[in-house]
Amino acid sequence: MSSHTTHTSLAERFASLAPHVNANACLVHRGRALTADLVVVVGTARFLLRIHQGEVAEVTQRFALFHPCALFVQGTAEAWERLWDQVPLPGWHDIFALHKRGEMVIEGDTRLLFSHLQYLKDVLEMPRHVPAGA
Amino acid sequence: MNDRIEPIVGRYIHVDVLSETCRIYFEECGQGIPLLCLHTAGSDGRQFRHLLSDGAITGKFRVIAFDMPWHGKSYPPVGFHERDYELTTERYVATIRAFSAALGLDRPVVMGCSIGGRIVLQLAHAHGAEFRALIGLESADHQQPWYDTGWLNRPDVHGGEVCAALVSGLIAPQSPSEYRHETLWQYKQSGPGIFKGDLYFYRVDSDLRGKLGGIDTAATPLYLLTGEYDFSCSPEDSIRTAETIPGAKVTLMKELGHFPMSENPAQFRKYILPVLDEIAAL
Repeated sequence: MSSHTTHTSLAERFASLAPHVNANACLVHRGRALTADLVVVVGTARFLLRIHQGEVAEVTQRFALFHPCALFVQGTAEAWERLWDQVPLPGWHDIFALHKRGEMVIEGDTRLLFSHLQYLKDVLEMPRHVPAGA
Repeated sequence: MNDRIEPIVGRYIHVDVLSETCRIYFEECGQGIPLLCLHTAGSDGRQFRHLLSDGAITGKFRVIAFDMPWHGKSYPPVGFHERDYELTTERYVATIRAFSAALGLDRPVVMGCSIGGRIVLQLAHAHGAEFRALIGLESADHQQPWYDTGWLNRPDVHGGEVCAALVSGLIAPQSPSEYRHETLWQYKQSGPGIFKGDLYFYRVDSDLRGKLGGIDTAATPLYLLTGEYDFSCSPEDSIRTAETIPGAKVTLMKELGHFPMSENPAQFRKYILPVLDEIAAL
């Protein structure tokens, strides 16, 4: 599989996040106090992830340059691919593990990050629970 | 005997630690060699509930797990409301030794996890002769921090939720969901500022790099066991530490994280039983 195909597949997996998050009533409930825009970079693909009261309102690659965002999360393609493995390898299994090894950058409103940490982890890890191609 | 009742028994003991009287809660099960278990930062002795119920262990060992003061069912000392909690190396060592003496334990084995894994190194260095063997789970002389502990106790961030959310990444993906969430529940229940205060010891007061000389592993065997998914104390950290202590034995535990005895007891016992068998044969 070429790296281009891999990147496209990863982007597609992230782009299709919304229905899987929103179908999880418990997850949405835990995020009910969160309304925020995040910029998430998956390899070379830049996404605007819009969260409204715990639901994913939109995941789009069409957004203005310097669109204001509460959090910026950037990971290498390898980081996201391994994070989303069904059983990730050690050191690739958590966003803080990835941050510690230099494969992920997390910047912005860190109070928002820590206030909603488990919810945000669960949203960003959601593709792990959705088979690629589903 | 009602088979719905577990064999674990819990009691309170009054212990003087550095001129402070502490009412310490402990649980025990088994008979034989005393095995004193030390819980991780921000949690309590419930982490050892599976070990305490394991007949293969309690048949040879008197397994004892106590809640450090300020944790679990061990209240803080009188006047606690007028100060912040910070664990120091001095107080941690004193608490363990005072508790052991209060119970009259004869050269116990001490097994500690995380901060407990760090303190067994200090015990080996400064008080080795008092112990039959020492076991460090997720243990190393030093770890690089991966977040600022200020986030653990703030009025605008839910302490229980953030403590659990941070450590959730330290649990192996293979660990059963039931025990993952039980482990995290313990963190959600911890008192305000307690996890942060424990990490004062871990991050500030106990950098043991270069300070562990003189450990006699022939007299007091030292075992270090670390889960492969632990990125707080990584296997590399434990291996590096063991390389500075002649005779220390290191084991990498597959499919385990930072809370091996709590997050996946079935997987953990594959690693700990041979160690305990070796100790029992000493």
